[in-house]
Amino acid sequence: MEEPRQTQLLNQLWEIQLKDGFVNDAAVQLLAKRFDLSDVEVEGVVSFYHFFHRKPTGKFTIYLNNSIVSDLKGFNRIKDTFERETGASFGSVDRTGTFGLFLTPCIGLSDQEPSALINFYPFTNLNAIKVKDIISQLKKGVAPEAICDAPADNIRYMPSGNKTVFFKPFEAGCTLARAGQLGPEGIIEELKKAELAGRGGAYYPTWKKWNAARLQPAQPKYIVCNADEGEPGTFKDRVLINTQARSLLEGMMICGYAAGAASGIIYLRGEYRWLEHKLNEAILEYREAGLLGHTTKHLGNFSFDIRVQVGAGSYVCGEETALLESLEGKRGEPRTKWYFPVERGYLQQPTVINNVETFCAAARILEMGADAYIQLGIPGSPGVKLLSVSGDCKLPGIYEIEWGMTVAELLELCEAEDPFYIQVSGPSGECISIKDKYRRISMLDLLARKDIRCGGSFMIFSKQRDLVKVLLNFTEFFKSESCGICTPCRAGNFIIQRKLERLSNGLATETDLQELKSWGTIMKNTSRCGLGKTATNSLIYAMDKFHDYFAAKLDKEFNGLNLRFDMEGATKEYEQYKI
Amino acid sequence: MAKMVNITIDGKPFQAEEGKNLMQAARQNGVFIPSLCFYEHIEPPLGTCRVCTCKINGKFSPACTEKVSEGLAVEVNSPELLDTRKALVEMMFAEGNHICPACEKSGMCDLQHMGYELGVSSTRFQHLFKDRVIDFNPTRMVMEHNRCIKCLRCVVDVKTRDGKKVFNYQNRGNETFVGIDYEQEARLTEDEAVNAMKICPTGAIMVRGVSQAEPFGERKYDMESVQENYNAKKKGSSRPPVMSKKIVATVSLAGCFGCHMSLLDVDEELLDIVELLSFDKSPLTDIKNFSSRCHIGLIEGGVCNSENVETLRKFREYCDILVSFGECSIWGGLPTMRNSIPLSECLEEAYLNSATSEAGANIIPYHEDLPKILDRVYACNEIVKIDYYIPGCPPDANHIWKAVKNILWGEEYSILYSEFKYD
Repeated sequence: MEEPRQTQLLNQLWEIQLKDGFVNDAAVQLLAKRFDLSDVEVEGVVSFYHFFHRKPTGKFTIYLNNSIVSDLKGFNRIKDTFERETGASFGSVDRTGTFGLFLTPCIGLSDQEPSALINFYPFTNLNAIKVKDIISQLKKGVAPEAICDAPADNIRYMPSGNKTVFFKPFEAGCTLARAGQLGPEGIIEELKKAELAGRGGAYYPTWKKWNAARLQPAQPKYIVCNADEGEPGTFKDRVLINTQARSLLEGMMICGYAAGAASGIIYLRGEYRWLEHKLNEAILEYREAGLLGHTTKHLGNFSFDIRVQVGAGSYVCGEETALLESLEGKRGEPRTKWYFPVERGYLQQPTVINNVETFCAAARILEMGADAYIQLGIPGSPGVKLLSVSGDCKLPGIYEIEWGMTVAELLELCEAEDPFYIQVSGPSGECISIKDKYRRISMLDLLARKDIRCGGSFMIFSKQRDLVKVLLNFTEFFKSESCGICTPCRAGNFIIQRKLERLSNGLATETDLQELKSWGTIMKNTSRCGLGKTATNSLIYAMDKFHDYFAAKLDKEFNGLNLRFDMEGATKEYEQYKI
Repeated sequence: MAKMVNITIDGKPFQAEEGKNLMQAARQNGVFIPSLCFYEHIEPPLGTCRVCTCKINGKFSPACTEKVSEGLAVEVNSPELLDTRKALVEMMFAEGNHICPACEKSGMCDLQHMGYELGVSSTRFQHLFKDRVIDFNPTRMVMEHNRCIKCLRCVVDVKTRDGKKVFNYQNRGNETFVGIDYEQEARLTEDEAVNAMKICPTGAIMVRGVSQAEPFGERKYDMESVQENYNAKKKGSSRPPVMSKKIVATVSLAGCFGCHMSLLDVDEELLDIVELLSFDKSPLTDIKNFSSRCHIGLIEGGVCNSENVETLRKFREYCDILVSFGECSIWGGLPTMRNSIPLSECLEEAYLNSATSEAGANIIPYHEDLPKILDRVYACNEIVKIDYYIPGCPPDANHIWKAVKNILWGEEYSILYSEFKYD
């Protein structure tokens, strides 16, 4: 089946955005006509994505990361420097139309913050002098791609004794013979034995998903790789794509073979545009080697091909059904659970969606054999996991740990500086106190809360950091990244933000704390997708673990009847009429 | 015919068609599950408002996106679920700028109806007062974005005959709104346009020149609850044996005195009031300062200036119990229309640029004896603790008097569905 034309809408919008710096009215009308849509539908798509604009964004479009790690590393100073040097202010373009300054959440470079994208090329480890230099070069007419950084991979740790799973050299085609021997059912058995579970954070058993897709009678089927790691603090997929594109492609091929699919799509987050060529080069290499786009000798009649789709800046598109919508050229709004993607996914066809790390792991498991893989890690949680470590530590970067490592060991490895609390799995994850440092990191006992399940992001905060400020940063993130389709997430994040501001300003009472918790729980229970369900996680955990800290922020004079009111602030505007 | 399977709702057994939408199955079995976005003929279901959230086989999930299957155990009315649902409806009120007394759809509005059915007398959330526009550009319609709850009905259901969408979401997060395509809108027939207005659960889509047929007070949601047992629990009035005389204070802050007027509407019960209550500080007595401690203070109106803040604090000091009566007092009400407009613009419009200001007027009043105008209108419960809320604009006289009797003497009462209103 040919993919319908609207799937190309994002690509064409990208083309226009990159060429003209914005999508003007004429372009909207043109695209609407081309795809047989109404204008308002095209506009809805444009306005959904961060990187598409309806107003000019300057010759050089600069996106500065405003995530919490950037904030720790001097975001404010860099922000000021950019404004001073370019003459533009954030959210707008300077008078000459040369520089456009914009803020964007985490761009996957938390190990080298502060960082920014200029015309979608990465600039890392920024400081005031570097920013000055960059801007003066750009003013002289140097192209950003000529002076951008090549972000380091920062692979800091691999299991000792050459036990690395992910980072061994990978020979193209090395898993296919084994896959052919095992056959689709054998592959699924192998993954079952390896207890591989989805690394996007949900930990759904990979074999179950692949098997469910295999059993679907409908054709065609699709294999989709979720390379939209948007969780602030995560960057492991960046490093995998940069160094392990082959194992990623092969993981997808094996999956296609097991599930009976002929095409795969890699949905690459827009922030990683600069990595797109890595994937395309690998795809080309595989095509030329006769492994993609042809029938492969090891796998009988099986033929598979892969293409890359670049996203356009939207955290929620990491949610699998939102990602599917985005792939179809629509707004990235999560679907209801009326159908599962393996039943009706991309273009309403059976679809397997897995994350980059999962596909890489699947390929490696076939390469080394499940028996060898389960020797690593701990019983019940075998194997290894990639963690993206950032924040207050000397050695931020990628840590390939065996499941079962304790938080304390990891903190020591990365040379954490006076760690006080740690945000595990990103803002949607869990906030843990240093008191929990002897807990293990594994897939076990999520509900019993013995071990810590880490999706990938591991952000360390020292005692000097203001927890409420951190939480406000998270809330702002969720508020603007919510897709807006369901009430609790759209309105709830906004409401929670207002309440946290009260707390931050010393106006809150004990009742406010209870309400925060209760409202957070309501959002958790009623939101449509994972974004809203997890948006208040860290807040709720933090309030449990750091009750004294929150208590110290409350209005001490509250007598149960009179709330504090900032009369001066409320009448400030009127005072200007004083004669 | 499809296979019938056994399900339970709140422990009671029912039979339903396998694979059917749980919302429909519940309705067919006479079980009321509150909902807003659900619209029978749209499939797959929208699942946007989340008001129908239930516990299904032990997990929180909306009923509208659940297919009936054998053995399905559904919990609808646990205290937690009732509160959760109420919270969701309150969120919509807090998020939008819903001013029922000024809305053409009042009495036929699904959001308002859910508020009535669930007994939402105030929102636990501070209203957000986000600035939203009213779009007068379309040929035939007016889009009132203040009232939109983003249910998605119009986006999915309203299309031109060649299948083009007329409405679509724009932006995202809390900036999301439903955009309207002027070109496609103009191509709808009159009937199609009126249909769009009808499927809109609130008053967000209005068609020019088309009015709602029934007069206010006699509309679909004005008189009767859809729940059979709406008043069941509270039936029967048991008058407490002793009703000792109590002292009351009342005030109208940023209000119109309409709530006070309504209070006088209790007809012959005025005789009871005279017998049982004595009024201290109140516009009804014209007593300016508290002369004694009061059992109850009734507050009309929100807080728009510094004097309101002081008065309200005085009431909190002198009254055992404070009751917000009327929409303005509860969350700000009609005067909050100014909350999304800068204060300077409001003052200049009122004192300098209005049609009635004298030529050459150049003074915006400011004097140390004058109250200072606040940056926005605040709800009373942002300044002091409020103990009870009586909704309405104005509240029904019986509602006020019943609530006061209950608070003061513990008399059991039953607020009729028709007495619980926002307009």
